[in-house]
Amino acid sequence: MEPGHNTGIYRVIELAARIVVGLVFLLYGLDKITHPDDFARAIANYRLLPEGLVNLVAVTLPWVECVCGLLLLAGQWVRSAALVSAFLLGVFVVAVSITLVRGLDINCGCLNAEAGRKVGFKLLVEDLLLLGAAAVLVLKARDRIGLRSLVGVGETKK
Amino acid sequence: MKGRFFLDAGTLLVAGRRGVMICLAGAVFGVLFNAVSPRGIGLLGPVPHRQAKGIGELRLEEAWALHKERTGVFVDARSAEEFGAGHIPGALLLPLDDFDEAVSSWTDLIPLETLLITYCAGAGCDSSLDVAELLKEEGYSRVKVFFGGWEQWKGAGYPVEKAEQTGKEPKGTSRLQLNREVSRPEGG
Repeated sequence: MEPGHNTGIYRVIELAARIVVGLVFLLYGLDKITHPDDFARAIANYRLLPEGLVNLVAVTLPWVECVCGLLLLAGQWVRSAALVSAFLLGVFVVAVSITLVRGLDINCGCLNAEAGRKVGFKLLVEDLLLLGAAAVLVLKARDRIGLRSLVGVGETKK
Repeated sequence: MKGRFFLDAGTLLVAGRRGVMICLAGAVFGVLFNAVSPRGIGLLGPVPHRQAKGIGELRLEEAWALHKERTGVFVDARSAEEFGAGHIPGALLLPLDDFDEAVSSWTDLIPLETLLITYCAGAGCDSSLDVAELLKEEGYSRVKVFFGGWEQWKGAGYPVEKAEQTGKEPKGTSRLQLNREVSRPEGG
């Protein structure tokens, strides 16, 4: 392993990226799992998928998000989970961009608690930031860092 | 930055393979959970529409029966353009986007106890339900939604009507239709 990889600011960045992306994916995924009908309608509103596929995506996508979120938080298969997360975020960025270009005034379908939230520029920026964080993890993460990296962060403060 | 990143083809391949496994695991969990969940939805079926609180739903045949009996007033929640291109005969234009403006003349002309049946493009749209909820707020107590909408109506080969004035003057059009509607004998 390269020198310097395990120490200092890089570990903090990595840990922060894992926690942020992991939490967002886990919480947003859980939210959608409990409201599959709302999420299906939200997907349909984007008018990007054929109607026959909307429900299937609404049922499976939140679980993929949750699995990614859990793996990122647990520090297992971090690079793989980050890769999937980055792919999904890439899809979201494209979907939001197309929606903005089309000028559709639709709900983002991100979180049921903020059901009235519209697709907008702010959402695009958030997705891009998360995509950046996931990309860091794809490029940097070592697998099986888990709790040890937490200890590592503590050590770097010595 | 040299040496900070390591991403050779082998590493990427492993990550990609595990990524596929993550997706498959998620998909399997999702399908299984959906099968046992009380909130589960049809996997390949139509997109479920929003639950209507206190607003009845009408199936195609029920909507057709009411139309034949001339019971109630059909309310078209689509745009003026779509309305102009064809709508359920006798329906009133009440686009969701212009609701406040368009509805202002309604309460004088249509009694609050009138049965109103809202519809929009079809199963994929929610504006019929949105308009139904807004009509309830206006004080109309008998509002029902025909979720099959224009798509189902047209598909069934039921009569359709085209507006004499299309698109440009939605308010005028709706008032025109309104007067005719109100002069209709009330059935059922």
